[in-house]
Amino acid sequence: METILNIANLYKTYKSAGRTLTVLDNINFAIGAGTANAIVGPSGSGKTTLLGLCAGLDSATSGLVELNGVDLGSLGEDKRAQVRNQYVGFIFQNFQLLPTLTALENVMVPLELRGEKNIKARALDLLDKVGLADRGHHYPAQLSGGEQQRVSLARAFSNSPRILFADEPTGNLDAETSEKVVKLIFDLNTEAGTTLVLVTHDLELAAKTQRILRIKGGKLVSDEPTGNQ
Amino acid sequence: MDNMNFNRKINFAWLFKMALRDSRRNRARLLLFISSIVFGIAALVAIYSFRYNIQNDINAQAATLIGADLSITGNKQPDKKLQTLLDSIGGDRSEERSFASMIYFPRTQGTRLVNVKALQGAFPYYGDLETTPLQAGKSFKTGKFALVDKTLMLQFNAKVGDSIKVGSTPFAIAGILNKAPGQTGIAAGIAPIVYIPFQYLEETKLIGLGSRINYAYYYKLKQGIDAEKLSKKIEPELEKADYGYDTVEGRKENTGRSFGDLSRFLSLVGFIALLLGCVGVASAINIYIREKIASIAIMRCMGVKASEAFLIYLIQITGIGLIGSVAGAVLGTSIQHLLPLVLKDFLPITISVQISWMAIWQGILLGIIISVLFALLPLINIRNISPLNTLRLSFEDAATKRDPFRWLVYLLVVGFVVGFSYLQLEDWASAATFTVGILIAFLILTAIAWLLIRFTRLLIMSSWSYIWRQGFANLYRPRNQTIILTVSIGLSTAFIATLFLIQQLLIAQVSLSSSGNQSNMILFDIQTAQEKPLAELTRKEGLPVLSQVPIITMRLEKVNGKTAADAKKDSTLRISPRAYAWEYRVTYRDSLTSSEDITSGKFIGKATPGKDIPVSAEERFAQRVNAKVGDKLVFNVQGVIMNTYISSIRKVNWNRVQTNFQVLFPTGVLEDAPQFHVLLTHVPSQKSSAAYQQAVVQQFPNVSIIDLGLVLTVLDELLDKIGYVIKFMSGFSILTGIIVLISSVRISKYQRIQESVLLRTLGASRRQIFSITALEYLFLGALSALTGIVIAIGSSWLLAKYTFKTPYHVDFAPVAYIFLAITGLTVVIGLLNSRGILNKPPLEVLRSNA
Amino acid sequence: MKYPFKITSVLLLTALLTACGGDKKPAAGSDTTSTSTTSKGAEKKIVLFFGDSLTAGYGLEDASQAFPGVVQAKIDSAKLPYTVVNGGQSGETSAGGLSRIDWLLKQQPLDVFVLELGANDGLRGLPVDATTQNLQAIIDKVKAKYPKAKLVITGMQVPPNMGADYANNFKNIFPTLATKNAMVLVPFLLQDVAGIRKLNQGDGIHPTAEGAKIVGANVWAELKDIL
Repeated sequence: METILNIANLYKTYKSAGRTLTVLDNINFAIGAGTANAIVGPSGSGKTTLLGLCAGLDSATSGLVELNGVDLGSLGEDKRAQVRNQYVGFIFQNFQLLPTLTALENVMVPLELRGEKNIKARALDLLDKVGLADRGHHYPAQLSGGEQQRVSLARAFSNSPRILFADEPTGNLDAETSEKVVKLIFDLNTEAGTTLVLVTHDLELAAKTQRILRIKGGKLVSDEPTGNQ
Repeated sequence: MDNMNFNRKINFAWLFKMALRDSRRNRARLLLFISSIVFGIAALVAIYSFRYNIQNDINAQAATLIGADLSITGNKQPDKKLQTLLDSIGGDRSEERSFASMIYFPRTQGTRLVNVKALQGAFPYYGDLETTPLQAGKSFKTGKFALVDKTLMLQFNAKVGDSIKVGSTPFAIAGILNKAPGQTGIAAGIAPIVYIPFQYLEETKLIGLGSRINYAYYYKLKQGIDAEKLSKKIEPELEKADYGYDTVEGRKENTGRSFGDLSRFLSLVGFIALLLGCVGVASAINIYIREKIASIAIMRCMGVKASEAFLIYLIQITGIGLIGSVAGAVLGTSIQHLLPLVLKDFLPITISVQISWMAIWQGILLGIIISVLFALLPLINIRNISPLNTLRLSFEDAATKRDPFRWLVYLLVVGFVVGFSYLQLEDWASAATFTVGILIAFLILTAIAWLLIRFTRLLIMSSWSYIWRQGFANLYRPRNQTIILTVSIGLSTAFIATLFLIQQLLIAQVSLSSSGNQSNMILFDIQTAQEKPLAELTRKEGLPVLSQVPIITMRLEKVNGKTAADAKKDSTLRISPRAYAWEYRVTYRDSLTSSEDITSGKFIGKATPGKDIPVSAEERFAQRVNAKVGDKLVFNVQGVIMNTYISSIRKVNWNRVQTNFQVLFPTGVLEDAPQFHVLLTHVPSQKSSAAYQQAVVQQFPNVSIIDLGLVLTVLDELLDKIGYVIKFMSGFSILTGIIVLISSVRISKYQRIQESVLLRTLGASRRQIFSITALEYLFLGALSALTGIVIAIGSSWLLAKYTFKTPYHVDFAPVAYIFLAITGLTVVIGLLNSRGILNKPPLEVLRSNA
Repeated sequence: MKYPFKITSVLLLTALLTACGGDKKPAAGSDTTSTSTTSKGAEKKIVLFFGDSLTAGYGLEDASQAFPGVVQAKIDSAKLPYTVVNGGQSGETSAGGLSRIDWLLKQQPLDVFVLELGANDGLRGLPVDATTQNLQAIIDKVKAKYPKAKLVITGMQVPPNMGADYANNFKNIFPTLATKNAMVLVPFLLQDVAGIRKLNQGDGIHPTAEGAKIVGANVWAELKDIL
């Protein structure tokens, strides 16, 4: 199986008030293309930091982050941005839609960035898939939380990412909406053959993936398959 | 790996699209930001427009001081060579002969020394010979008519149509002369003026061998010929012929500080307008960009490059700046047109209202530059905004990162302020000084804000009520508005207060020159025995005795033992030999006048018998004789040798009509020396002037009177105008300053929404939130205004000392009002800002501003 | 002050300048100071010239160039035992002279008194009567203090631009006073000088050194007979 994300000897430390705080301590793992993975751990265990590093949102103190064969550590921020644009999709706990853009425009941004054609049709198609075809001209503030997360999902899949990072995607949603969103994530993931990396402390959600990486105190403490296919 | 393309081209069309899209949502908020720019630029454009127009107005009025572009005068018939030169000057020319003569009023049988002016040509080219009846000023040249000074008419009870005899020719009085341009003291001061037509001069038989005639030639030069340059060119030839010249510029310079003060003041106003524009625009842009940080982080996550994000907002800001500036220019221009209409009945002067394209272009250009420049600071932080911000809200650290570009931007901002200050002040040194001043003010305010943030944290006591704690905590909590508001309120206050203080100083100066207490009549050659009776007469006529001083003539014999011969022989003594040749007009007093300041030594008002006499030397006199405090001077007081020493050196303020002296003696020495007296008074009207002169002439025939009324009227009007212009411009600038202040406080509207809504959600009453907000703004407003005022006092002192060179004093009462007004204003705006939040259900607010 | 309010101060200055001869131009004559360097004190008799800027030598480089100095030179070359004392003061009017005369008489003995005042009265158009009265009062004071002194009065005229009536009345002051007080009269002090450009300074009223020589000769012509 092709490896899409390769993490080796990863460290992340922060200097704060003269003390060195080690947030990630020698993390090693590899993720195969098309798989669904969950990173779980208690609050403050370093899982969000790990996600940020994997997605190229931040740079590591030392160690290797190889995304789709590209060593992110060797790239500057602007190049990492392009890597993100081409291979990575994001879903955030807070949805993180651009408040000044309509739902449709939010979905279109990654495509526009790539300079692709027929953007609108594809974006509408995606909105349709998340069940919001008729809300495209609404601004995020006019949408409910669940709707916003669905828009953000459409946006995440708009650039046909090879890998999708989701940070507590249901953290701000009620149980019923959560269920819908989760279903959508997995459905779209399966449909597009995208790799999924999910950060959560919701073990129920984690159990729906194929593999669970457990982080505690900055260390990878366990790495187990769930048996799902 | 597959075809990873790292060289994505910048797609400008898309960047523009994003910039536009991003500006669409929350139009109301955008409008608020733009309004701040609009007000800043409107202030700037209106102030510049007024300034340009007023400068033109004042220049036009100044031209009436001389009445022509160029005047050439001398006291002898021009020779052939000079005549050729005079004829070679192009444009229109008028000719005037003037001389003293005794004229006769046949009806009342009075004789009086007057200054006869025989005029031909269209002079005055600027201003009018203002006469009653009106047309007489022009029509008198058509026949044997004369224009007679108003005071003279009153003095001799003459009426229009009466006859006066000038030399051997009778003239009919065509009109009363109220005001004449081009009058200076030299001729006009001595005697009242009578104008006659030039063609009858010969007939008067007053011109003959031994006649003392002044020749004057007035030119209106052709368009485009510079009077200054021309006069500089012909100066050597004129000098050879013993002729002098005068130009409007030269006259303005000689008229003294008022013109200089006005132009310096207008420069200051221009500079302040620029900074007001900066404050208005910069504070808006700064907060605007700060609000965009979250969006930028999201875009970065989506793969937007830092440079692209930077460009999107640069484009947007440029667009906003352009729209705001154009709207501001339109608003500023309409203010400039509307205001004089509205104020027509209140303004004693007419201010012309021409569209000043110069001001408009400057305004628009400045608006865009300011927008971009001040946006650059937060914008370069965009480059450092980590996309990680989408995961964690840690916006603050983006700004704390050290970035070399920051310094570049600082440099650009400073360079820009210096550059545009130069355009306003036309002097690099001043521009640099002003900029440094502003920088210091900025740093002080920032430091105050920083200290405030630090110390309120320590100050807050747990024993305080919740409202107090919350109100104060708002000052230091994350995402506080303390620094930006302190700086913008503080700077605005500093500008407003500086303008106000300087305005007061200048108005005091101007009115010092033209107010009712200013002497406009000088009586001299009063003999000692006449001193008291004349003063009595003056008071009996209801006139003030503004000053009455004895004058003694003396000569300088020795300076530190060195005589004239020594000084001539030995130039290393650095004593001007001419200092010995002068006759010094000296007075004695036991105290200094308000226009004198001791620069060194100590003034001694009474001489000790038998010892050297302590005298006070005027600064320039002391320089001429190379003497310091303690040096010995020997004077010859009409045969009596007096040994003196310099006990003090004085600086004399020459800005009023009064007697000033190079050497001042103490009392107790010169009382018996031969002396005459000078008396200064102020006559309120020409009628009282006439009556007074009549009475004086009758009782004290030897006393000579100089009535400066006519001369001072022209000057007074001008000074009045300058005074009003200064008041108007400062008033207007202060008003715009307040508007800019309001709008920059107004943009903080969205800062406190989240907190307030949250508090409401948690059950805080409206009154509690109101109090919290009021406390925060009260504290911010009061501290900033106070700091601003302290800065203003410092800066106005420096301006007074170095730019306007005028004595400094602060009237604290109005300053206190400024403080209260600005503090109050801040609180009111702050409360208005949160009113919207308080009146809506929390959910609605939360949703629309998420 | 760097920017003095010039127009007004110039006004005043001008006023005083015209009135008093000003303090901006050197006046070579010095009050009551002997212009003779060869003075041997009490042995010599004293000629006091009491006058205005014409006596004081306004605008001249050296006091000896003023007409009293010219007279002194003529006295010296005639080897007469007289010392000239220059009691001129620029800008003095007849009224000013009247105020000053006591100060001078108190400390300055004299044998011959030359009265040269009135020109400033004339230029200001002061009433002729007042000028006459003041001059008479001065003469009276001199007579009272030094009854034996010989008295000289110099005639003066005003420029024609002042008007014929005034000019005539003014001119008549001096012969009238001379007759009344039995004084020697110099008919017109500025004879052959007044109105001639090159003999006068730039202001057109004060003689140059060259002009002062002629003025001195005018005086000498009348004075020499009484020394």
